[in-house]
Amino acid sequence: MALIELTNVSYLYRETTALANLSFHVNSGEFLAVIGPNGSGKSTLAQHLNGLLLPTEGEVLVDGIATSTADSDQIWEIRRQVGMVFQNPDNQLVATTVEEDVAFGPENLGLPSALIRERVDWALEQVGMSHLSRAEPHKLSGGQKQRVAIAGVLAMKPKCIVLDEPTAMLDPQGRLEVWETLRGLQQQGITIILVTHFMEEAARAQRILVLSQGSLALCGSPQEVFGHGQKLSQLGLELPQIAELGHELRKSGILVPSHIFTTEALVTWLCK
Amino acid sequence: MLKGVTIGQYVPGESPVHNLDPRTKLLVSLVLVVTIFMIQKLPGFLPVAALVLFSALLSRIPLRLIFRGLKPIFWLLLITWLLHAFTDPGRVLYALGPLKVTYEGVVEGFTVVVRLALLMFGTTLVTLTTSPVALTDGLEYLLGPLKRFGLPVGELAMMMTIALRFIPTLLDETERIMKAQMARGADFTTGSITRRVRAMVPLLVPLFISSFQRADELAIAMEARAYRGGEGRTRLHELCMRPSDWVVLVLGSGIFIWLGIVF
Repeated sequence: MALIELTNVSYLYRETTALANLSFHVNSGEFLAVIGPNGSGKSTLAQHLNGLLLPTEGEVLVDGIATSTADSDQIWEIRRQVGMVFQNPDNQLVATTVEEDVAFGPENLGLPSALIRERVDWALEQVGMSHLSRAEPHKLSGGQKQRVAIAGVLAMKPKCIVLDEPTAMLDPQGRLEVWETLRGLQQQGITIILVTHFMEEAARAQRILVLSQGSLALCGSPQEVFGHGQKLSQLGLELPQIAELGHELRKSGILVPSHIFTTEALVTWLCK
Repeated sequence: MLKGVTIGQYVPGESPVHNLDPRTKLLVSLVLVVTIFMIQKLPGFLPVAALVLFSALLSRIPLRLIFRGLKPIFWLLLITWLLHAFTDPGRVLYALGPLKVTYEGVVEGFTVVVRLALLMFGTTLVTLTTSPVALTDGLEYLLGPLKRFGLPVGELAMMMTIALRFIPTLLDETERIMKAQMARGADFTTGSITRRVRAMVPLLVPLFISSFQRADELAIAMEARAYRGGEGRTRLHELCMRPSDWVVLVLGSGIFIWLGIVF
């Protein structure tokens, strides 16, 4: 079932076309990665998914409600259902302690404080940050800050989380933390839309959407998308290292199957 | 260099004074301020000072920390006292040419000094024992009735919270920019005042630009988390007046008002 549906969406920003005639849908419970070179409209697209930006033309349906015609109550309901995590971990935390920041969303929804307490504890546990609930955000590492941001979204009980390059400013350790958190959430049935420029991250998604100059260049499973190695390099994108390695191995006679893009999968296959 | 900066002067701790509801502390200190200005006779300050000192001891905050709060107004106190002593008319105690020290002036000056010192002492005690966040919450609640007159109380409290949240972040950033500029030969520490002020420009410009960018991103993030102003917002930590708060509030303000009327 489609949770989010875009039909012929275009968006003009100061007379330049940021999105051009984009149509696709996001299924409930899936893990979708959005990749594309700088300036391809990834962030603009992300902000269309919860009504922060409204399309100049076309329609974005979230759970059957069009963002451009939704009244204000419906827009807030859309924002509750489709949570959003941004790139800079510093600029999205509002409160002076971790737990108060996670409480910010539920507070905005006007929930009673006992229920907020329950949600905050639950959300912090989901991201493994319960032990730091009283800490001050500026004392946390980048990965921890992003997990707090994810908890803040989770506390609103969303159906879907959109993450706009959440790992771009993190070190490898932080990236791993965020990644494992996301995997756990997807297993619980939350739809994940990950905007990223790390091919290794995209390779682990169920479906990849490649944007180029605001329109859809490629869309499909990692296997299908990474099969178009030449087209990707024309767009200025690189294959994940493992896909590249598999390609080289095939050339020299070791027939690695083309659906292997992750280190673990390749190691497992080679050890067989 | 900026690492040691703390916001406000809150000293965390566990004491009967720390544990009071911020509203209790704010209201009692308000009554205290009114009392201090109502009292006209010098002996009247004695029980007030005793009560304030008693709460200070209860808070287990080192007294020297509270007295440090008086330091900035020390010269003000001294000058006030001298002015009163030399200019008030009355019985002359000592004459030095045209300057006369009068008995009434000495007493009146002393009254004003005690008044100001008690005022500072009492309010410092409140800020030392209450976290800035709790103070904000308390003020938001107490100013709540003014919403009816169009004062955006919830929004003001939110601004305060965001300021508290971002001060450490901006201090870090300032330090980073300073180092970056120093690495390129900027000199913030030597030269005349004008030189040093001019050296601040390449520090402040990037700081301002990045602050505006932060504000922009934060606004989008808040909107994405369904923030739509103070209206209809609830709180994780609702303030809660315990029986002890009511006792302190009623007894404290009662005694202060009585003292104000008697003296």
